[in-house]
Formats: sequence, C-alpha cells, structure tokens
Amino acid sequence: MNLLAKTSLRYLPRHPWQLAVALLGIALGVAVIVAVDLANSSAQRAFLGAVDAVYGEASHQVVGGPAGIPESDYVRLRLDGGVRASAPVVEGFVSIGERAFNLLGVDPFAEAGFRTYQIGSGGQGRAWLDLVSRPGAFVLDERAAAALGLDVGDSTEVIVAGKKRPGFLAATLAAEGGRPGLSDVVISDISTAQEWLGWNGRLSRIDLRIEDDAGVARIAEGLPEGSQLLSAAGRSRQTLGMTRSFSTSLTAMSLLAVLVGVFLIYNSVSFTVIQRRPLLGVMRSLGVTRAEIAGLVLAEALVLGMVGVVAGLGLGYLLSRELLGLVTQSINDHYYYVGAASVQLAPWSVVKGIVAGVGASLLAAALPAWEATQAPPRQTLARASLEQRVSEKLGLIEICAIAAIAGGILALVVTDRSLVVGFAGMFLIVVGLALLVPGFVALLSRRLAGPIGRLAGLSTRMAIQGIGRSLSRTGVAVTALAVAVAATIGVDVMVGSFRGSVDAWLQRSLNADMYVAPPRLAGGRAEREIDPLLLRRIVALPEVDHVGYSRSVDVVTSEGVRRLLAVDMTDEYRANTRLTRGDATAAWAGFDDGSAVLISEPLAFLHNLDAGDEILLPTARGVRGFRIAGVYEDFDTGSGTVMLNRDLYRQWWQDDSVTAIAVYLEDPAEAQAFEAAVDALSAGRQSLLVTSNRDILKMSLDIFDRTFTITNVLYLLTVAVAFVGMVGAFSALQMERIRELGTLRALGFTPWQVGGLVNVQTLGLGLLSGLAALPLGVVMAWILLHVINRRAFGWQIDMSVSPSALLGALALAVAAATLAGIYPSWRMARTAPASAMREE
Amino acid sequence: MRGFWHCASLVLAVAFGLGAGAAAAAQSESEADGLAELLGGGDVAGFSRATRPHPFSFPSDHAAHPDYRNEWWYFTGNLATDAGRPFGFELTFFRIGLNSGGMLSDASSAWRSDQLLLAHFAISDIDGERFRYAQRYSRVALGLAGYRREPFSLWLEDWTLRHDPATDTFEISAADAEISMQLQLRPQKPPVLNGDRGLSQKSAAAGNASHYYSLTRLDTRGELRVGGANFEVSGNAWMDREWSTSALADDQVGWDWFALQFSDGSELMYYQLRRADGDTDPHSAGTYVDRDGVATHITAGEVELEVLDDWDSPRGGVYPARWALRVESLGLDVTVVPRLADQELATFPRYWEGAVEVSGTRQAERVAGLGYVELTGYADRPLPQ
Repeated sequence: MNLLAKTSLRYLPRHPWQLAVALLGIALGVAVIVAVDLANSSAQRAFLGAVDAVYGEASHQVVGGPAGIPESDYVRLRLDGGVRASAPVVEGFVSIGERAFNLLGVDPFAEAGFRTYQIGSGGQGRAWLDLVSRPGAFVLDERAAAALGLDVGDSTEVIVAGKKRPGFLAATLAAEGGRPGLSDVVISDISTAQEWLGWNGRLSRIDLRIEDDAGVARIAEGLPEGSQLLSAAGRSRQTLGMTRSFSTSLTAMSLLAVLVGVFLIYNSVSFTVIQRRPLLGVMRSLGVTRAEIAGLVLAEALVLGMVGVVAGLGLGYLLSRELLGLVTQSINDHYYYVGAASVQLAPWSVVKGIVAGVGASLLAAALPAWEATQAPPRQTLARASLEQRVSEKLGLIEICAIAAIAGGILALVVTDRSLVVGFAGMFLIVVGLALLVPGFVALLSRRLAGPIGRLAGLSTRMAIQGIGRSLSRTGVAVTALAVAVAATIGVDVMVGSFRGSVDAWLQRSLNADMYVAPPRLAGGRAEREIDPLLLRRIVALPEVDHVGYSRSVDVVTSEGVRRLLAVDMTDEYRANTRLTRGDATAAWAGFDDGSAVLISEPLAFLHNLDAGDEILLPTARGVRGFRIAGVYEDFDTGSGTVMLNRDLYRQWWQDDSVTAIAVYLEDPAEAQAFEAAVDALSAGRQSLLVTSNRDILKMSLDIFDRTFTITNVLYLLTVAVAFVGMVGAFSALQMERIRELGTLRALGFTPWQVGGLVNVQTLGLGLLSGLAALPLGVVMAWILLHVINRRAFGWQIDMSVSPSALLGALALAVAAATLAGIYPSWRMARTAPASAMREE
Repeated sequence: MRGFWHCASLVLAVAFGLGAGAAAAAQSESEADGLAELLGGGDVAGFSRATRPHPFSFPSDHAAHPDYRNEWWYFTGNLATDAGRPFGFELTFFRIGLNSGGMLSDASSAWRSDQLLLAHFAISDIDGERFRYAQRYSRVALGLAGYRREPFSLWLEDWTLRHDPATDTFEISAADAEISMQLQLRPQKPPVLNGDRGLSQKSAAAGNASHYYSLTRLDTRGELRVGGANFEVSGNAWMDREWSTSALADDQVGWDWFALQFSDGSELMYYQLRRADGDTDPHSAGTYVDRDGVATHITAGEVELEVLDDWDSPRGGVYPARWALRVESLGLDVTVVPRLADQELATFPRYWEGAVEVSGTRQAERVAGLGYVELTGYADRPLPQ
C-alpha cells in the first residue's frame, strides 16, 4: 500500500471522535436535504396521482357552472357530434365510516381510453354488472375496503352531504399494480353518483380525447351557453397551482436545510484537514509534492463523503416518512383529499443528497489543502501563520459579503412577482450576512475582551480573546450556528406574525354567534347546500334574531379555480370586512346594487387585479365580465375568492341554494338552546354542524398550527445540525489548544481554572453567534413575510417581532454552545500538563 | 349458441377497463370465471327461461325479448362488387339483461338501466388481405342505445338495425374510423327453426336452452367503405337469432360454428361444442335447409369434422384453419377453407369469425359455396390432440 494512503488510514482511526463528528456532520446534512426533498416530492406525487386517477387520460374537458352541465349535452355531443372519445363524470365527496373519499361516478362503457381499473380478488364478472344495475353499488381500493372491514358483497352506509345512503361494495380494485391515487376514491356508476348527490340529469364534466385543433374548435363551437371547453393540461396546471404555493414554502425550508447542511458538511470535513496542517507541512518538507497531498486529501474526503452520504440517505429516508405525514395532512386540510401517502424514492432527491454530501466534502477538504500546500513547508508547521492569513482574508470576505447582499437586494427590487427570484434574493442576502458573521464575532471579541477582562479577570479575558483568534477553526461553526439560530428566528417571527394576522382577521370575520352548515370533509372544498325546507325552519326558530346567508362554490375558469362567495351581507359582516383597495363607499354601493363584485387580496395580488378592473367568470349564461369594486382582506389558500351579492349570483347562476348561514341570536346565551333546536329539526333529514364563532376560531387556528408543525420540525432539525457543528468545532479546538492549555497548567492554572476558561470561551462563542443571528433572523423573517409569502399566497401580513422570539433564539445559541463545550472542557482540564506539552 | 360467450366478454371488457392497459395474464383465467359466474345458476332469478318450444311469430319475434337475459342479432355474409372484388362482413348486436332486483324507482337517475347493448362489426377485405373490426357498447338509456318493437328497430349510438315489415327487408348500418357499411337484406327463405321447433338445448340441465331461428339466405346489397374507398356490393348474408337465460356446462370450453351457403341453393348450419378433454359434446347440432327452405335437424353423430390445417394467431393461440366436413345422411363431403387467415377479433375475449369458401361434392355432384365460421375458446389454448 501507498505510504501516503497509510497516513490517512492511521490518522483517522486514532482520532475517532473527529472521524465520528465528520461522518455525523455529513450524514445529518445530507439527511436534512434528502428528507425535506423526498417528503415534498412524495406529497406532490400523491396529490398528482389522486388528481390523475380522477382526471384520467382526458385531453380536454367540458365543464359548466356550479350546477354542472345537463346530461343531454353529453348525449348530443356523442350522438349528433359523433364525439366517441368522451366520458361523462359526476364527482363529489362521500364518507364511509370515519373515512372520507372522493366520489367518481362514471359510465363504465365510456371509460375506455380514459381511466383503467384493475379488479382485486373477489370481485369479477357479475360484480361489475352489479355496479351498473344495482343502486348504491360502488367499487373501492382493496386496502381501503380492508381498513373499513368491508368484503365484496357487503352492504354499508355511505354518507353523502350529511345524508345516509345505502351502499353496496360490488368489487374491489387491486392494490398491487393498480393505478396510484385510486386508494381514496369511491367509484360508482354514474347513475348511483347522481342519485347519491341529488344530481339527476346533471354531470360534473365531460372528459374528452381530442387529437386535432379543428376538433377542439368544432366542439367548442357546439357547446351551449354556460359550458366551456378546457384543456386538461390547463386543468392540471390549476390543480397543481393549488399546491404550488404550499410546496414553495416547503422548498424555502428545503433551501434553508441545504444551506445549513452544506455549512455543516463543510465544517466537519474541513476540520479533519486543518487539524493535520502541521503533518502536511512535515510531509511537504520530506519531499511529498503538492499534487500528491491534494490527491490524498481529496481521496480521503471522497471516502468520508460517500460513507456519510450512505448514512445520510438512510437517515433522510426515515426522516422523510415523518415529514410526509405532516405535509399530506396540510394538503388535506387546505387543498384536496389525498389520504395517506407513502414515501416514493425520487432519484432526483437522492442525487441532490449525493451531490451536496460529496461535493461539499470535497470542497471543504480542497480549500484548506490548497491553502496548506501553497505555503512554504516550514510555515505550515506554525499555527500562528494560519490565524494571520485568516485575519488578512477577512477583508476579501467582507467584500464578497457586501456584494452578495447588494445582489440580493437588487434581486428583490427588480421584480415584485417572481417567487424564484425572491428566493434567490433571500439566499444571496442570507449568504452575504452569514459571511459577515466571523468578522462580526472577531470584532466583538476584540472589543469585549478588554472591558470584560477588567471586570472578570485574566482567564476570562484570555478566553474571549481566544474566540477571535481561533476563527480559522471556529469561524465556520459560528457561522453555521448563527444561520441556524437566525432561521429559527426567521421562522418564529414569520409564523408568529402570520398567526397573529390570521387570528385578528378571523376574530373580525367571525362576528355572528353561530354558524350552521352541512359537515365538510377534511379537505373537501366542495360545500353542500342546506336542505331548503330545513333552512326555512331554522331561520324561523325563536332564538334567532337575524341571519346572513351564504353560498360558496368553486367555478373553473381558464385561469384557474375561483371560489364564488355569494352573500346576503349583514351589517356586522360589512363592518368587519376590511377593504384594502378601492373607495369603500363606492365599493359597497356597487356591491349592494349588483353592479360590481369584491375580490380577495390574494386574488388581486396573484392575478394583478385592482379595483376598477374586470374579472371574467363562467356564469350559467356564458362567460361574463364583472367589474371589481374593491379588494378585501383575506387569507384564502386557493387561487382566490370573488365575493358578490347573492341577488347578483342568483341572476347569473340561477342558483338559490345556501351552503352556510351565520346566525345572530336574540341572546348569545341561548347558543345551546339554538343548537339543540337545530339538532331536533335536522334529525333524520340532514346532518348539520352547528358551531359557535369561538369553536370555529379554535378549529381554524388548530389547522393553522398543524400546518406549521412542519416548520417547527424543520427548525428543530436545523438546530440539531448546528449543534453537531458546534460539537465538531470544539472537539477540534481541544486538539488545537492542548499544548496551550498544557502550558497554562504548567504555569500554575488549576484544572478547574482551565476548564472554566474553556467553558467561558464556549459560552462566549454561543453568545456571540446568537447576537450575530439576531439581525440575520429579523432580516430573514422580513423577507419570508413580505417577499416569499406575499409572492406565493398573496397574503398581506403585518410583521411583529416578539422579544421572546429573540431571547429564545439567543438562549438556544448559548445552550447549544454550552452543551457542546462540556465534554471538550472536561477533557482539556484532565489532560496532564507534561503530556500536553510534549506535542512538538 | 354464440352469444353466451360474448355476453361474458362484455362483462369482462368492463371489468378490465375495456382493453386499455388491462392485464392480459389475468384475462384467460378470469374469462372462465366470469363466464361461469355470469352464466351460473344464481343469477337467473327474474328472467324467463327456455324450457319449451316458443310459438314463433314473424315479424314480431325479430324484435327484442327483454324478459330473457341474453339475446343477439347476428349478421354475416359474403359480398362482392360487380367487378368481382370479394368482401366478408359481420355485424352483431347483443342485448344483455341485468338483474336490478326491482330497485328502479321514480327517483332513479336516467342512466339507471337494466339493459345493455354490445355490437361487433368486421369487414374482411379478401383481395386487400386485411381484416378490420370495431366494437361498441352502451346501456339502454338516454337514447344512447335502445330498441323498438313495431316496426322493429335497434340502435347503438350510430350503429343501427331496422326491419321494414312492408317489404320484409332488414337495413343495417355501422361505421368506424376505417370501415363503414350500409346494407339492405331481403330473406330468400322463411325463418328456419333450429333444434326442436326452435328450442335449442345447450346442455343436459333443464332451461339451459335457447330459442333459436335463422334466416339462412338473405339477398344483400349496399355500400361498403374500406380504408377510404367506397364499394357497391351485393351477395348473400345469413342471420342468426337467439335468446335465452342459459348457462354453459362446466366442461364446455368453446365451439366451432359453420354457416355454409351452397351453390345448389341449400344451406347447412352446424355447431360443434368442444369439451375440455377435446371431445365433441353430444349437444352439438345443426340444421340442413334445402333449396325450397325445408329444414332437417342434424345431430352430432351424423357429422364428421376433420381439421386439416391450423393457424397460429400472432396474438397467441392456435386455431383450426381448414376442415373436411362430411355428413353421410346428406351425402355431403366438402372442404372448408378460410378466405383470409387472420380474421380474429382481438376483443375480450378474442375469437375468430371469418369468411370461408367451400368446395366438394353432394350426392357425387360437385358443389361450391361460401359461408362463415366462428371459432371460440382457442385464444391462448393449444389445440387438443
């Protein structure tokens, strides 16, 4: 074996602590990057799978307004138009037991070429005829059926829009080899779907496969008013858009994870090289060439990197499973029912992890190796010269830092729409500020050493000065810790501000005493109407003072899904709706007389709409432009809401249904009596949820908090990564300073004093990184709120920095540093002076 | 005889996503399961069964009999242009009754239906050596598909079958991307009742029988469009009509069906049921119709059928492809040869239905002829030795 390689093989096992930290550092760094990426892509895939299973291979779709399209349109299209590649669909939501499902009502005889189904065991031949001929027959994924304890042929209750319907499991779909995404879908014949949903005579949409543009034009021309032809590519873009904003917020977290992860890898690997600087000097004096040394160091880094990556990929996979649950829960809460997803190994995520792990390792080894081989051999043996060089370099680093920050600010100013550019700007600014951290720490330690030394004595002063002097080793650790802590501040402030804004908005919006609506499914965006007869009886209850009616429905436009909110405005609601654009008096006048609509803040921002503009909406009488009178504050997660007068809605959509009522009671103390009265009225008719404003507020904030659990988990990971970085930094420091501390012992310092010196130094290091993190964190929070959130969701959030967030972050930094310093200080204090000094 | 199997095929087609991306491996196994299940005893409740001869009356019996579960109208024939370019055609409508258990009500969706229609359409371009086919299916609802009694008509989207009682003429039409057809067919002989006065027993079990009549020679003329070219054609066609609520016996795996029209004006129909062990089922039977339309029942024992050649389907399976057919009681000794080797419909399940030529002797006189043969149960199964 090559003699040089042997030096590596002998060195690392003799420093197991250092080796372990390096490997752990790489593994954790890779794990964070991979886990976030995997969770993100798996959730995205589950969502797309669910959408695909329902949309199938259609190239186009005919869609209508809230009431769908008459089924006679389908018959005409197929018989008169001869459009044979067409399939009618009735969609909705149902639940069986405690589980929610998307309902897909299809005509099996028209499904060829649109959707494929693989029948599971125990449901063949006859079972499929039952699907068509037996009312209430449905098909379910076999895993879902097993989970519900249903066998083929079993009867069960299916809950549709709060009403119980008899159902019958005609067959199951094979779990293996079947199409992903069908696990949360109940498939029935179109007749059953119509009967369950009360949609006799109507279809949700018609799926089409049209190959040529002429065919598209011909079909589009023949459509009746109120129906429109959309391309499926456009449709999936819209549904994708529903999670796009969500996945960008995950990507932001993922980028932070990459940043911290790479810092950590760099940190832990570069120590293993810096540590051997004298050894490399000796080798150079003995005649080993620069190229040979560089080769040795890089080969070693490559091996370390690869081992670390393998561990990191495994760890990342385990971690991603935990993250994924949180991510899908959020999608279910806000967007679309995807059920439980499983982690899919995405090659791209793995590649990312490998590149980050190996790349950062090589870079981390290459830079110090290059530095060590550039210097004359004798000089590398002296440590002081390295410190000297690092100090000199600070000037250059600061120039880079300022350039990065300037670039970042420029990127943010150039455009106020692009999310990608927003991220890029944030990244540059964070990197720039991070580069300034070592200089800032050096400066602070120099400035503080004198005053503190006068107060606390020589050893403390030595400790503080030591911080600045040892930046070649601690600079990266300090920066990593500062970035990690800053990320916690940024996220904390962002979430806190966001929560505060949402809370305040909800408090204003929920101004009625009670709300009555049919239960919505988790993630069910489609709302169900209240039985009209029941509605009349509820409104006539003696407890009721007055009522606000609302009808909420999604309509599909060529630009995306829009939610229509048709309301009979109460005075209370009006007083609590904040208009952010447009003249309030004129806006309300336009709203009241039906000459204009109001749009939500996200819709206005994301689609560049303002008061005075027109918005195109598909009505029952064709697409029509509506004047926008104003923009109101809203925290919608879809692509935006249009609020309009219910008379105007009735006029254009010919729909009188009500999906929710806001009830103002004679006496708020009668809430329970009212609830009991509604329960008595609705029993056996339709299940209705009666909720107080307080409960809705609580439920909403619960969902909010659940969404941000991911953020919390991520920032705990970031802290963990930073913590490992600190341990690495101090273990290296111990090795470096063993002789110095030995000298101190020889000069008469007690072990206790030496340990104290070390502890003060680590504490100081933590405190200084924490202090450096404060401005960095606040800047991050500001960018997250006003650039990233704004561009992704269109929300306007007031930033509020709570002192507790800042103090907490500072405490975190100090605690991490202190913990990381305990073992090294104990080791140093225990080392016998003579053996420590014998180093050279 | 033939439709049992197609009714099962419809069910399976649905069950497997109508061919798109279906698992071929699972198909043959499920084919048998589906057949047994569909035609099994449990599901006949609510349907009439063929237990005694039906008092046939025409033209009203041309129309549908929805109280029976399965029914079909089966047109096949050999046509040619004036210049002599030959074509074969098949157009078949199947009706399948579903057991809704009497659960239909006023609140039912308009899609709710207990009747399905299925159709197969094929044209054999003999000179062009190409076989093209298409299929359609739909429930009887919303006008997408349906049938009327008087005068009888039936449609499956734009594929139609009509009978004009005034002229006793059938009109059939079907069209797909590459082929279309519009024909008028006039019976040359009265309907022939197969089996015992039209009661055709399929196995020993009571009720496992069908009402079965044939129009053995229809003078046919009309238009074809094949691969972009139009042809005026004329020739002879055959119609098979059967309705039943019947089941196959467990050991019956398929059948060979022959409908032959001889140059001397006579016709022979013969179906041979095959058992799993390769033997001929004793319920195999046929009908001979002389030039004046007088029918004679033929039993399995009277017919000797020898396979002279076979054909490997590129889609799997080996089919018999040339036969020596001898019926001693008729003094008939002919060779039956497919006019095109590949006339297989790759539907669910696959089967072969194609135009054939006949030549040989009857009572020592030379006879020639044309006809149609249907071969089922061969896909993915080797020929029994």
